[in-house]
Amino acid sequence: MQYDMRLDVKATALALAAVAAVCGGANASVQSPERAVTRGSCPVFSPDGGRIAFQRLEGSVFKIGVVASRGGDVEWIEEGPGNAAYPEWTPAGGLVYMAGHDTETAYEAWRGNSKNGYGLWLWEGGKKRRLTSGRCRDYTPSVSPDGRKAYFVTTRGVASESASFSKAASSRIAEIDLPAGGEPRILMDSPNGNNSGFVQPAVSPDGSLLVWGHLEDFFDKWRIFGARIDRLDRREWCPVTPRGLAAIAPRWHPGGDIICFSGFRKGDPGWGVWVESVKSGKVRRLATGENPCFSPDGRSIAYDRGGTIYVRAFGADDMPDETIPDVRCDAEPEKVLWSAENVARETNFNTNGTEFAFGTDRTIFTRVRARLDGSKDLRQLLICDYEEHELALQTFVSYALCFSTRDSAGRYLAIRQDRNDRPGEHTFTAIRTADALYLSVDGAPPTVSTTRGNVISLGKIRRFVVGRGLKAGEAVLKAEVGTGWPSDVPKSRKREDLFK
Amino acid sequence: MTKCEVETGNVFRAALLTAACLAPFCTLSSPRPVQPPKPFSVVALVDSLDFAKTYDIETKTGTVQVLEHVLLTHADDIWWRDKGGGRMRYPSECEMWQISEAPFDKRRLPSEDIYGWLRLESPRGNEFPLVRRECAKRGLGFGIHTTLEENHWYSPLSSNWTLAHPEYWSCQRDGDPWMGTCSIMYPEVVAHKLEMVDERLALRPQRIMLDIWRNGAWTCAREYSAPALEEWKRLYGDEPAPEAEDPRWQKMVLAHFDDYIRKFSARCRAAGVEFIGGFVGIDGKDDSALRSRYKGLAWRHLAKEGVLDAIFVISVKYDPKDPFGSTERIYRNVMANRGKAEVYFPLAAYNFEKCSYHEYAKLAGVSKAEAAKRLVRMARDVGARGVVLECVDYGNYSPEICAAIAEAIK
Repeated sequence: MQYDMRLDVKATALALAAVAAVCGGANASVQSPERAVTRGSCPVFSPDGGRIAFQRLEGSVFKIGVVASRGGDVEWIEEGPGNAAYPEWTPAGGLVYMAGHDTETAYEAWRGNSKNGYGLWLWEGGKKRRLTSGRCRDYTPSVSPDGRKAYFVTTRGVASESASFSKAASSRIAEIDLPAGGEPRILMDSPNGNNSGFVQPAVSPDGSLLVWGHLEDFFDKWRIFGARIDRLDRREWCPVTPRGLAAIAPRWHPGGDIICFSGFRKGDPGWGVWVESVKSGKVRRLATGENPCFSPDGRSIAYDRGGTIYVRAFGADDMPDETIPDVRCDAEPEKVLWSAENVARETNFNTNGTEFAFGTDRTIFTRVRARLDGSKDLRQLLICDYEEHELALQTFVSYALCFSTRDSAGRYLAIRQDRNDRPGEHTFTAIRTADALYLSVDGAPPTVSTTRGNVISLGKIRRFVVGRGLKAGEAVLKAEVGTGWPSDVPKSRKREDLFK
Repeated sequence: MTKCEVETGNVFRAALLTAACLAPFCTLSSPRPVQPPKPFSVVALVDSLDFAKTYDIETKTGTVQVLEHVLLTHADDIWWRDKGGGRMRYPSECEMWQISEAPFDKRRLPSEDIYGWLRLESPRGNEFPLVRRECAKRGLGFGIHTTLEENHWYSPLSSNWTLAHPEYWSCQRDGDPWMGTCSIMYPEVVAHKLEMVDERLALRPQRIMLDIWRNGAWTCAREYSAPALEEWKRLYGDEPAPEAEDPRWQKMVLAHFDDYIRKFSARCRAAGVEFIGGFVGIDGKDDSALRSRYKGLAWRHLAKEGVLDAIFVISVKYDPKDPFGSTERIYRNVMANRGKAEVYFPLAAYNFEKCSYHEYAKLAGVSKAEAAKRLVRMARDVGARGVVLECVDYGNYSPEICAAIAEAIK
C-alpha cells in the first residue's frame, strides 16, 4: 500500500478561482462552490460518504485509489502492473473494479487463443480477488444494494456472434454473483449489432431498476435507457433521457427519483453534469464536468473535469426544472393501403388509383414477409417509386437489412440491422415517422434511428417494385404499405410506464 | 522507439514548429528550384492494420514483414497510414493516446476482434521510426497517408479529441449534433488538426498525402455549427440557413475547408515536405459543380493556386462502355489542368469506387494483368509522376499483377 503525499494545491486554487466559469452553461443552476479533491476521474462515494474511490491516469497506466471526501492522502488500491479503472463500492465497503494486464501483442493473443483480457476484481479487507476472466472486457460494474450481485458491461461473445463484420463493435450487459464471481450471465444483448451497445449500468437504490448508457446506432448519440431488473427483455427497455441530449454514465440519487449523468446539448460549453427527475423527465445542467455521482446522503455530488475530481453541494436549488421535447410517436392504428402476395421475381405494381401522398407528419410503414437464402447479395424487396424520388421508400437486404427513405434534399436516410444471416421466412417491418425511422424483424422491438434533416414529403407515386434481385427459391410472400403504427411492432415503452 | 529516437524526434519537432510558425510568411507561389525529371514511381499505400492477422504488426519483425510483402509489388515509394479513423498509429500527444484503448473511454464502443486489441498508438506499437529507417536503407521513398476522417464510420475508431469536445461536434441542419466529427468552422478544430500536421511532420516523411475520400461522413451537410450559422447571418441576414446543396452554403463552408488545406500545405512546405491531395470521382469536367467539390473537384482550383505539390487521383468517373478510352481522356484533362502539381493515378485493388483493375478487366474483357498493365502505361504515357496502389493488403496484388506492373514500368 502506498500513499500519495502530494496535495493538489494547483487544482484546488484553480477551482476556487474559476467557480463562476466552471458552473457555467446556458442552463446552469444557481452556482454552488465546488472544491477539488484530488487528481483523477470517475469518482464514487463510499457507503458512509467519508471516502471517494476514483481512477487516475499516471503516465500511460490507470490505477485506482481511495481518498477522504474532503481530500488528503490517497490510498492506492490497485496500481498495477496493468491498468485498473471504474471502481464501485459494495455495501460492506469493498470495491469492485475492472483490471487487466495485457502483456501479449494482439497477434500473439489472437494466435494463442489468449484468455488475457480485462476482468472484474473485488478488493475487500485489503485483499484482491479476481471475479471474472477471459479474452474480453468486463467493465463499469454496478453493485446491487444487497451486495449480492454486480451488473456490468461485457464484450463476451461479441466477436464470435457478429454476423456481418469481422470488426465487431458492440457490448452487452451481464451479471455475476458476489462475492463468488464466476461465469457471468448475459442479461442484455446489444441493441443493433455492430456499432451499437451499452455502457455503465446503474442499479437503483431499491434494487428494482437498471439504467444504462445506450447507443442505438453509430449515427445516433448516447442516451440513457432503463428497465426493471426482473424484466430486462428488449421489449421492456425504455428511453429515460430525451433524444436532444447526449447522455451517458448514469448514477442514482439515494432517494431513487433522480439520476445524474454526463450530458451534452448543443450550445453547452462541453460535457456537463446533468440531473433528471426520472418521473417528470425534467432535467438540469449543474456544471461542466463528467462522471457524476451522488453522496449517500444525496447532499453532495462528485464529478471530474480535466483530470481533477470535484465535489459540490446538491440542494433544493439544483432540482431539475426544464423539459426537453422528445421524439413524437404516432398512436394511430395501422391501416393497410396496398398489398401484393407471392412475388418470385421483380414485378412492378400500379397503385390502382389509391392515394399515396404522405406529408412529413404522417406515420407510414412498409411490411415485407420474404423467404430468403441468407446470402449477402443485394435484394430490393420493396421499393415505393415516387416522382419526388425513385427510391422514396425502400426495404432491402444485402450484408445487412436496411430500410431507407430520403430527406427533402434527396439525401439518403436509413436504418439498418446487421444480423441478416438467418435464412428462411422473416417479416421486415419499417416505420417512418416525422422524427425517426424504425425497423423490426419478426415482430421484435424495433431499432430506432432519428432522421437527420426533414423527411421527404411524398406526392405522386409512380409504382411499387417488389422482389428486385430475388434468387431462385426466394420470394416476397407478402408486401404491404400503410399508415399508422403497424400492429406487429411493439411500441417503445415510455418513461412514465417505468417510473410510475 | 528508443530513447535516442524520442529525443531526436523532439528536437526535429521543435525545428519543424519553428518552421511552421514562419510558414505564413512564405508565399505559396514562390518559385521553386528547377528539379530534374523524376522517374516514374510506383507508390504503395500501406495500412498495417490490414495485415494484423498475417503478421505481428506490434513488433519490429512484423512491421518489416509487412514492408517486404508490400515490396513484392515493385513499389518504390511507401505511404504509411498514420491513423485509422481517429485512432492514431503513433503516440500522439494532441490525440491523448494514453486513453484511447476502448474500455478506458466509455464513450467509445470496444471492438473484440484483433483490431480492437492493437495498441499502435503506444510507444511499443509505434511503427514509424522503423518504417522510415527501413525505407531509407532500401532507397525507398517514405510518405504518410493521412485521412480527413475522424471515425471511419466505426465507433472504436472515433477520435479521442472529438469525443472529449462535444462543444465542437458537427451539426445537421436540424441542429442535431453528432459525435462522429467536429465542425471545421471552429478555429479550435482547425488548430487541433494543424497540431496533428506538426506531429506528422515530426515523423520525418518526405511527403504527406491527405486523403479526402476517407472523410468519415463529413460533408457540408454536417456543418451547421454555431460559427457557420453566425457567418451565414453576417452574409445573408435573417434568411434561414439553406439546404447543404445550396451553392451559397457550399461556397461558405468550403472556403473554410480550403483554408485548412492551405494551412496544411504551408506547414508541409515550411518543413520541406511535399503536400499531396487525394481526390475521388474526378470526371474531367470543370470546377463549377460545387455539389461534389469536397470530394472530387476541388483539386482544380487548389492546383491552380499552387497549394498542391501533387494530386493523387483516387478514382475517376469513366464511361463503362469505353473504360480505358474515357479514362485516358480524363487523365489528359487532369494533366492539362494540374498547374505545377505533379499527378499520381490509381492502380487500385479496392473497388469501392468501381475503379479497380478488376473492374477495368471485367468491363473491357481483358485479363486482370492486362488491365493493370494498361493502367500503369496510360499513367506513364500521359506524363504522370506515378501510380498508387490503393491499398496493398496481404495478397491483393497477385504475382501476375506484380509482374504486369514490373513489365509496364520497364
